[in-house]
Amino acid sequence: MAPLVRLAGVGKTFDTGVTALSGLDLTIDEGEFLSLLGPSGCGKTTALRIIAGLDAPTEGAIETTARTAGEGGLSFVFQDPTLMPWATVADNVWLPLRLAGVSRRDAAARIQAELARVGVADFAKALPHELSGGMRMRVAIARALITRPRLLLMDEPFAALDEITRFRLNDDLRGLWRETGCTVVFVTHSVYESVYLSTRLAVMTRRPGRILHEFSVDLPAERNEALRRDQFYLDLCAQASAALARAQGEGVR
Amino acid sequence: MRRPAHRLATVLLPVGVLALTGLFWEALVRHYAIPPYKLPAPTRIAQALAEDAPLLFGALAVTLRLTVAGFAAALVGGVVLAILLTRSRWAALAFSPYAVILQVTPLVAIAPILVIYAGPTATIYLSVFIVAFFPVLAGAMAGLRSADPQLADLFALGRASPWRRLLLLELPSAVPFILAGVRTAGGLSLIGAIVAEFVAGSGGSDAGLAYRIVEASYRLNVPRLFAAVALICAAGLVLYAAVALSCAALLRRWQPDRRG
Repeated sequence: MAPLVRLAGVGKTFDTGVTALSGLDLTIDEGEFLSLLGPSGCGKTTALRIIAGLDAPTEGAIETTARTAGEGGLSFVFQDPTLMPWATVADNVWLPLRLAGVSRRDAAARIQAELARVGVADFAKALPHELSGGMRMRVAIARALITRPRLLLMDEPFAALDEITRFRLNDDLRGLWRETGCTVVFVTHSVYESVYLSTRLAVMTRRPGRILHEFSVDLPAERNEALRRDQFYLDLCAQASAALARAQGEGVR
Repeated sequence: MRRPAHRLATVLLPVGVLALTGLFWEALVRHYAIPPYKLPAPTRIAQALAEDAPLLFGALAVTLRLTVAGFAAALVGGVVLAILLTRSRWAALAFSPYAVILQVTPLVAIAPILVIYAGPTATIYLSVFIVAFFPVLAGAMAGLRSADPQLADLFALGRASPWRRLLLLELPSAVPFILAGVRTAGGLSLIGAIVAEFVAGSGGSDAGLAYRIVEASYRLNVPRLFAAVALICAAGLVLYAAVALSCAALLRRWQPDRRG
């Protein structure tokens, strides 16, 4: 089966002269949960934006079949919830469908179902500023899921949240991924989060970023709090940490 | 939330100051028997206001009608021009200096030119437009460019047309900026109307309040002069309060995110 996304020798140099990526090779298969792990400022976000088509690479090539607009295409979750402050929670979740030409009436049932799925069903009529940070992120995830995306791109979505909220959202995100069967690319700088969530891990070097090391995470599909103390999980985390430490030293070649 | 006692004081203290000043003023005029053409007592001003009510309130209605019409046109015009100028960088480069030139040229200097070509009534309307237009334009220009870049990314991912992007993202993002401009414009528009009437105002049934002030001053009808000024002052306060309250009501939806 052809991969969903294939990046070959991708490089990105911005107009400012900063080279964010250089020689990035990465293949993303249908249905996997891939974490991109790397030090801050290593071009993880740039890689995600190139996959989404929000930025064009200055070098190399990208092939993907996931870039269709609207239903079944790709969705993006940013580090901030990025909700429209003037619109209700329900109207925020409606946005991607609205842009695809679905009326509010036709979308109503799906909006409500999506809000229920992420656990904020009672807040459909609330405004974003009335919600906590964790709840706002849940709304942002509902907005991303409403188009039933094939590919879900997430850029450190839980980085600004407290640990308890973050753990709970990790579990819920795992559940959503298994339920929807979509492909997830999850950018993070947290080793524990990446191992806990993923089926595969790609560690990136310091800027200009490229993939230093890839390994699959052979943990059971059913993951819960107990796993966070599991020895095999902790070994994988140690392995990822070591790779990340090497990545800090790499980069300039 | 402020305590009720404090809130009461914010109303009672200024009213008390007004009452005491009025009493002192009244006493002063009576004690020294100052004639009304030099300094009318507050009671004499009130009397003038009552006697000249048809004349003064009629004039106020004329002024307010032109003020509100010019203000409304400036609001629409400012937002529409801001939309056009933000669609094209070339248009913004070509026309922005003229908006500034119009803004920095004193209105009293432009009004005599306007009156030649537009006539007295239209001059007042145009003057209000000119002073109220710029704050709205400036606010809308800044606001239309203030949309969250990540939200803009979402619109790009959804392949939104420029039109939907304007309607669903850029204009809603601009609302707080536009309203800040509107608040400034509201205060300026009455000033614009009065200044224009001083230069271009005409007598008869079309006479505005500023014209009545000039007229009363020539005739040394000092009580009426004071009454007219008091009326303008009250109208300005009402206008300001109406604009500020409607802006605050509209802005409730636009509160930024709380952290936590």
